Amino acid sequence: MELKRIAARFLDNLPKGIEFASIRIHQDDSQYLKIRRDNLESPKLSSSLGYMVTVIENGAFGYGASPDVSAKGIAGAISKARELAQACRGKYVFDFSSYPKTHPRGEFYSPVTIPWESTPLSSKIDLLKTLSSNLKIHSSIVDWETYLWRDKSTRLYVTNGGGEVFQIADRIMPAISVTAANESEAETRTWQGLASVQQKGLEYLTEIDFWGRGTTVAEEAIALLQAPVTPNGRRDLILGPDQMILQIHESIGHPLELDRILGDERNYAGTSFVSLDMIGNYQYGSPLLNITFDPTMPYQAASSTFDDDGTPTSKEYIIKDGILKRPLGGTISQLRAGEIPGVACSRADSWRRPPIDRMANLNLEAGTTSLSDMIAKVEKGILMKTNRSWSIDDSRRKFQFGCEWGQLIENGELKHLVKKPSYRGISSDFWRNLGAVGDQSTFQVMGTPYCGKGEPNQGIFVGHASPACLFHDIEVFGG
Amino acid sequence: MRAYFETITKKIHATLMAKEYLSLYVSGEDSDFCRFNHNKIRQIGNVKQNYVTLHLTSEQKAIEATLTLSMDGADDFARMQSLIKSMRHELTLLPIDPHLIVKEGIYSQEKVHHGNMPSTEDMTATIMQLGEGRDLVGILAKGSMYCGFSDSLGQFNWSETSNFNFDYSLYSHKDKAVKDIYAGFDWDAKTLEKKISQNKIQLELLKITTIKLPPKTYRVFLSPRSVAEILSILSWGGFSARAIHGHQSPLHKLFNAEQKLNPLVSIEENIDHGLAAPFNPHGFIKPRSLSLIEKGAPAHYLVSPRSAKEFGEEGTGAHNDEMPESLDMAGGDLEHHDILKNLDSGIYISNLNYLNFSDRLSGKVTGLTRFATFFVENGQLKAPIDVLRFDDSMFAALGENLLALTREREFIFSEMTYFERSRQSAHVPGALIKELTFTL
Repeated sequence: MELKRIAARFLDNLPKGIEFASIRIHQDDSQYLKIRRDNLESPKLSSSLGYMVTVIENGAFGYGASPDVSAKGIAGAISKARELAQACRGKYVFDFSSYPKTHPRGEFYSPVTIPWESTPLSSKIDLLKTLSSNLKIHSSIVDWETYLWRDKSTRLYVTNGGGEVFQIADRIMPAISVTAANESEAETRTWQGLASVQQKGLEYLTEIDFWGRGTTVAEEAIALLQAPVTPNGRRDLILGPDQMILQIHESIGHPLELDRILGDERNYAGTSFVSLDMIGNYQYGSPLLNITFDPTMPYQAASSTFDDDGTPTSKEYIIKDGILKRPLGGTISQLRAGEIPGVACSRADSWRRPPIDRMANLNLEAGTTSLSDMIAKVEKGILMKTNRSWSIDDSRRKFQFGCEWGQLIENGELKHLVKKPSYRGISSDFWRNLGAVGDQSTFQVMGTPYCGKGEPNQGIFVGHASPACLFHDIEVFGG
Repeated sequence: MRAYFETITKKIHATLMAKEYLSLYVSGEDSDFCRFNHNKIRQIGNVKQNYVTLHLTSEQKAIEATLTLSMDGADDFARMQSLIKSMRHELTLLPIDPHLIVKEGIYSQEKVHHGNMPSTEDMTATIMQLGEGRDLVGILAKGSMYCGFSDSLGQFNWSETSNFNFDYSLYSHKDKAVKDIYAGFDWDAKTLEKKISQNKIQLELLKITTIKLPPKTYRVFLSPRSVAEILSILSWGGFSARAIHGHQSPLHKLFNAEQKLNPLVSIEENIDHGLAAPFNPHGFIKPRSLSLIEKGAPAHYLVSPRSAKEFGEEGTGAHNDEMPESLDMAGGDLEHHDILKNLDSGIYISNLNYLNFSDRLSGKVTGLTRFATFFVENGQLKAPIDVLRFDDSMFAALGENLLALTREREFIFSEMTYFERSRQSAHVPGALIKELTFTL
C-alpha cells in the first residue's frame, strides 16, 4: 500500500537519535458533480497525495510538508523541519520538551454501506439530471442547481517510536438549491446542502429521499417569494436543527477553542469572551443546555478514533446543565493552559497544514420536549429554519444570523410563512434564554466542510447535531 | 518548476487522440510559515505543493481532474496518463455540455517577479526584536508562488513571484489592538521598523478607557482596509455574470439600472498591478484592466468563458467563480491630514470584521468593527470604542451617504492562505461616510 511505503521511507530517512518525529500522510480523493439549469458542468475529480513531517528536538518544533514522496523528497522535508526548528530554539510559546511523545496504534473506517464507486459516474449524473428537471416548475424560477460532493480522506500517522494510526473518513454531501425571483426580489431555498455532510455512502441518498425532494424545494422557493417580510420586534424563537448547528458552531464552538482563549487566533479568527478562570464554573446557558464533544457519534462528519496528534478520542461533556466544564483544546493547548481538561481535537485540514484546536463533532444533547409542545408554549414567536447569513464579532459575543424560512407563531399555533427571517443577540444572554430543548424526534446530525481558522488558514469538516430549541425574548427582524 | 511543467506537459500532449483537446493548469508554492503569539513562535514550517488540473474536452463534452505532482517525472507522467485514460472513458458516457467553450487561439505569455528576502530565520529574528516588550501576534508567509498553463494547441503561460506577507497585530489589552500588514517583494527591515514605531503610537491611544457607544446612526471614516473588506464582500457574486443573471448578486440592482452608486466610486479590475496571473486556469487571457464601475454607474462585470456561452456575452477571461482578483478603486481628494477634521464627530474605523449579507439583493451588509476603532469628537480622537455591529445598504453607504474618498490609497495584498497563498490584492482609498447604521 502506497501510504505504508511512504511511511517506511520516512523511517528509513530519519536521522538516528532524533527526539520525536512523526509523519502524517494523506491521500484525499474527491468528486464533485453539478447540474445547473439542467446542464452538467464539467465533473471535477481530485486526488491529493502528500505528507507533513513533524520534528521535536531540544524543546523546538518544526514541520515540513510536500507532495514529493521520493526518499529524497522526504529527507528534504525532514531536514527543512529540523533546520527551522533549530533556528528558532528557545523562542517558542511552549517548551516542546514537555510534550508527551506518545506512539499510538489504531484505526478508523467510516461506516459506509454502499460505496461511491459502486455506481458509475454517468449513472449518478443521470439521476442528478432527472432531479434537476423537476426544479423549474414555474416561470419565476430563475436559477436552480443540484450537486453531489464526495470527499474521501485516507490518512496514516506514523511516529519514530512505533506509532501507527490509519483512518479513513468517507463523506458525502447532496444538495438542491432553487432561486425564484420577480422584478425586485429574489428568494433562494436550499435543501441539505453542505450542512448535510455525513460519513456515509450512497445509501444516504435513499435514506433522506434525496431524489424525491426537488419539487418541494422549488415550491418553497416560490412560496417564500410571495410571503411577507418578517416583522421586527422581540419574540420567542424556535430554531430548527439546520439553524441550531450554526448557532452552536459560532457562539459555543469557536469561543471555547482553547487556542483562541490562549491568543493564537487574535490576528485572524479572533479571540474569545471566555477566559481560563471561567472553566468549571461559568454559567454558559440555562440548565437545559448540554453540549458534548462526541467523535464517537456514528456517521457524523468528524467522527474518528484519534486526532491528528495521535491522541485517542472520547465523548466528553463541554457544557453540563448549563455550566462550562472544559474547553476544546488538544494536548499542547492543555499543557500551555496549565493542565486544564480538554479533548482530543488537534486536527489538520490536509497534509499541507499543522494540527490546531478544532471542534470535530460538537453536539447539543436532545431534551424532552416535542416540537408541537414547544410551539404550544409560545404566545408570540417565530420558527426559523436553514441558515442564510451569519456574522459574529471576534470575541464571539454579538451575533446576527439570517435564515431562509420563517413561520410566525401566535397563541401556541404555527401561522403564516415569512421571508428574510433574521435575529441578533449576545451569546451569553441568548443561551441563558434557552427555554426548551427538543426531543429525539427533532434531533438531526449535520455539519459543515468549511470551518475556517488558523494561520496559515485551514478549512475543515466539523460535525454538529442538535434538536430544535426554543429561546425566549429574542430580537427578530426581516433581513 | 517552469521547466518541469513545460517538459511533462509536452509529453502528455503527445498522447492525445484525434478530436481531443487537453489543457493543464498548475498551481504551487514553496512557502515558509512562521506563526507568532505573544511575540514568540507558535508554529514554524515549510510547505511545498504543486497541483495540476487536467481539463479534457472532446465533442462538446468535458471533464476535469486535479492531482498533486510528486516531481518524479516518470511517476507524474504515468499517473497523468492513467488519469487521462479514465477521463477519456468517462467522457464518452457524459451528456453534451451546451455551455462548454473551448479556447481557439494561442496566447502565450509570462509574468515573473522575484523579490529579495533574507532567510526565514533572519526575518523572524527581526520581527521578534522589533516586537520586544509588545504582545505581537500574527504570521509571516514567504517564498515563491507560481501558476502555469499549457494546452494541446501549443499555448504556454507562466506566472511566478517570490514575495512575503507579514500580517500582524500588536495588542494593548483584551481585544484592543493595532492591526497592520507588511507585504511586498523586497524585504526592508527599516520599513518594518518604521511601521511598528507608528503602530506603537496608536497603541498608546488604545490605553484610554474604552467607551460604549449606543447603537444608532453615526458619521464614520472607513480606513482603506475597511473599504477593502466591504469590496471583498461585494465581490461575492457582485461582479459575477452568473450571479447577476441568477438574481443572486449584491450588485444586481446596480447592473440592472435600479440603483446607482456615488459618482466618486470608480472601480477597475487591474491585473497589471496585482499578484494575479494574467490568464485563467483554462488559458483565457484577462484584460490588463477592466472598468467595473465608472463614476457610480455600472461598466462591466466579469464573464467566465462558460457564462459567455450561456448568456451570449463577451467573455473577460474570468475564472469560473467570476470574482475580481486585483481591485483598484480610484482615490478622491480628501487629504490624510484632513480626515479627522472632516469626520468632525463620529467613528474612525480601522478594521471591519466578519461581513455578510443581511439582504443580498438589496446590497445590505452587516459586520463589526475590530481592532483600533475610535470615537472622534470635534476632529479629535477621544477614546477607543467597544465593538459595534453595523447593518446597512451599501447602495446608501457608497451612494448618497459617501462624502469623500482619500487621495492616498493603500495597496493591500490578501493575507488569505486557504489551500494556498492568495494572489488577490486591492488598491483602495479610505472613505468618509455621512451615516452608517449600527444595530448592536
